[in-house]
Amino acid sequence: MSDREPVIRVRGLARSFGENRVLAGVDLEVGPAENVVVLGRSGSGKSVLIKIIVGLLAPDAGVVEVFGQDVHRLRPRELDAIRVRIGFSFQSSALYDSMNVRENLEFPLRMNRRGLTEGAVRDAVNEALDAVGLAGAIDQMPSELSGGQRKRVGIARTLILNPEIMLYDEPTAGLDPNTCGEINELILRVREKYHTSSIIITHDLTCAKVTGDRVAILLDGVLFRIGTFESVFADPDPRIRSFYDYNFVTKATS
Amino acid sequence: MSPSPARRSVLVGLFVSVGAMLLIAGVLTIGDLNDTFTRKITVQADFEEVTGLKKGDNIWFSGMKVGVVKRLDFQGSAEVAVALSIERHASRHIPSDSLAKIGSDGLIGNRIVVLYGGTPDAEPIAEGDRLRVGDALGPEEVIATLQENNVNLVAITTDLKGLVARVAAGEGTAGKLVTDEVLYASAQASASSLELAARNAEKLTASLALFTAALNQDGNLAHDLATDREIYPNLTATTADVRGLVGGLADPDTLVGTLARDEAAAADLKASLDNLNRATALLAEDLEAAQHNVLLRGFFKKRERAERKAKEPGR
Amino acid sequence: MPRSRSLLSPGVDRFLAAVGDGSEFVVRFFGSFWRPPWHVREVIRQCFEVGVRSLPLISLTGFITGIVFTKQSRPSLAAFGATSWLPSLITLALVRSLAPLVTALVCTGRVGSSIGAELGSMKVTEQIEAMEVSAINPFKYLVVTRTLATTLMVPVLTIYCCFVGLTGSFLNVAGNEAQSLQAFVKSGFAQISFLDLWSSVAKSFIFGFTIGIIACYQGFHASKGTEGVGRAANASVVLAMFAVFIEEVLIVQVIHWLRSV
Repeated sequence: MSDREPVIRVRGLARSFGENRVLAGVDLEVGPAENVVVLGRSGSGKSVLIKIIVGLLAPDAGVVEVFGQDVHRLRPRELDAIRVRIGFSFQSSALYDSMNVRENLEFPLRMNRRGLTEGAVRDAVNEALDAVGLAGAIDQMPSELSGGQRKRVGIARTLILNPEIMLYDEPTAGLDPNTCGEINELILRVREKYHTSSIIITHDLTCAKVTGDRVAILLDGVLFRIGTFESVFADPDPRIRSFYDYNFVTKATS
Repeated sequence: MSPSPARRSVLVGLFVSVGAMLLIAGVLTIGDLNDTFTRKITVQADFEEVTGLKKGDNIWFSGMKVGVVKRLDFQGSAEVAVALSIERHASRHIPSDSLAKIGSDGLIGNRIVVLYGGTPDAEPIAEGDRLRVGDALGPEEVIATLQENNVNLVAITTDLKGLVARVAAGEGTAGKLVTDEVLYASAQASASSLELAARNAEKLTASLALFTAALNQDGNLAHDLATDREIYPNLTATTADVRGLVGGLADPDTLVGTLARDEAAAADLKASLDNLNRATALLAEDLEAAQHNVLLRGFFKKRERAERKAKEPGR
Repeated sequence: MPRSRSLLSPGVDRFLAAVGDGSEFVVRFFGSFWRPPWHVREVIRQCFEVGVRSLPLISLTGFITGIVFTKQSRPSLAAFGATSWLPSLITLALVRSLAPLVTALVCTGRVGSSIGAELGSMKVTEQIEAMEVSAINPFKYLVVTRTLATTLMVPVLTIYCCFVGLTGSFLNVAGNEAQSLQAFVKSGFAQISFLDLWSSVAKSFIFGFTIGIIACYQGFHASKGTEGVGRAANASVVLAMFAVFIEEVLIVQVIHWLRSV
């Protein structure tokens, strides 16, 4: 736990989809410049958690405070003011298909920082692309990029607004191990350069081990264990063991 | 692949401008034909029935479109007040005593309002005028009449066919007439004399009619003479007096008797009476002239008007 | 959370829910389109896509409609010896009904499906959510701009369609009845009133709005997966065409009423 005021504070968060109770009382705090990894099986509601944090989904119960403000009690304009300070990397990268890489990066900047000069926009785009190491792809269309490149452009697009919080939804899903490693490094580099607090949603233990200061495991709608990677996986609970074993078997064979 | 934003704006602007110009062209064309911008006056006509006339139908005068039906309203229980919007420049040529009737633009065409009749020297129509209504003749009536005519025509033709057949066979007077040359010639001669006589008779009748009409005319001498109830008793009294006088005349002792027997006095008296006769004849002539001048002129005028009136609705 | 039972039957409930969502969508459009930001550049881009890019197709369709309608009407009128009425018949039909309807249907097929598919795929690949977390209102950026573009462009396309259709009709009439352009225009427009013209323009505004808002709604509410994209595109076209016909019937009634007032 950081002794400073936490940036994100989640209390008693619950959310159901029909019969499926995805979150059932989640409590989580993220301090400044801290990386928290949330591990869980597919369909266990990990993505739902960060979508609620950023206000894309509404909770059935519970409170989410970001920068000390209750996200779900804000007026649209106040919510937008908070969203500008949050970067969200989507599982599918969510690049705008109709725009090339440059336009994808310019878009949030032009929409949120009106009155910027052309030069300032160009500099910001170049800086963000440099940060993810893709300066050469600036005029390509998203459809021409590989999965890893798309992911990195997606991250660059959130970095362009200098976020204080980064939310990564499955940053390594569907990528080959080499690319996964590059993405993990990128996540660390982003924290170093932009001093962001992050929540990383993943089912990839390697990613969790490399990037996470703390690791939480989402089981049956609650965060079962929170702590360092080693302390969590030292737990003899069979559900954690099975999760760990499965991941390591996959790692061993690949 | 895709044009630059600046070029795109230009293309969209061009696209919209050309579209707007086409729209304006359409508006102007319609405006020109429907005369929305010409000044108009509104007059009214009350019809018993409008047979499907509706707002916006055309108004014709001498076969020319001069306006449109502006409004139709019920008036009382049996009439429809039709407001006619007529172009100002055309209204100057439409007399205010024109009639309005509902017609049709061709056999299956739209309903129209036809303005007709009216005397050239009447004032032109003005805003708010109320036009008189003539008889409507819609296509239904035309067709009905045509149908009746057809039936009659068939009957006539059939009769004619029979007649001609009999005439050709020499039956009846007509047949004999056709076949006998001498009879025909004399018949023709008598016919022409008859015709002459008839014409004279006609003239006579006309004069008679004129005279009778004049007689019936109030306020002239002849009429007074014919109708005055005072003159006749006076006349009777006078006749009795005259009879007494004549009796006195036979008596040589009276002044008149003496006068009657006096040759010279009698000659004088005769001369006086002659003069009186001539004066009376002149008076009659004068009276006749007066009749032509005053009575008959008015009389003829009236008769002429009545004749015209009788003809018009059938037009 | 208590187990939710359907109110009437699952099918009816789903239909009513869609009607409710759709109405909310429309209300949201009118609540937001007049407020900044306006995304003028995006509106122009969409106008270009909807208007300029549809022009060739609309021109071809309008031209063919004009010629075919003229050709098909000729025998009936010739039976009355009234081929001189062709221009006024065609103009009346084109201005009052054919041009708005043909344009709306062509635009539904071309524009409605592409908007439905575009927004559907954006929804499925989380691009709409990405926009939202970038503090950009996707409703304003995507829905308002596209709906405005169709609302503004369909009337313009209708005017083009009318013009091109009349040109086609004139060429046919000129070839068969040797009528001059002036005579064609004069007899053609003699029967047209301003009510006809303006009601057609108003009608195509409504058609344009319908096409845009339905396609945007379908795209915005596409279900997950590539299948959802196809369904959104298809539903955009089918629903918009259906709505256009229903509106045509209703608007004709209203115009009829206006004409009699």
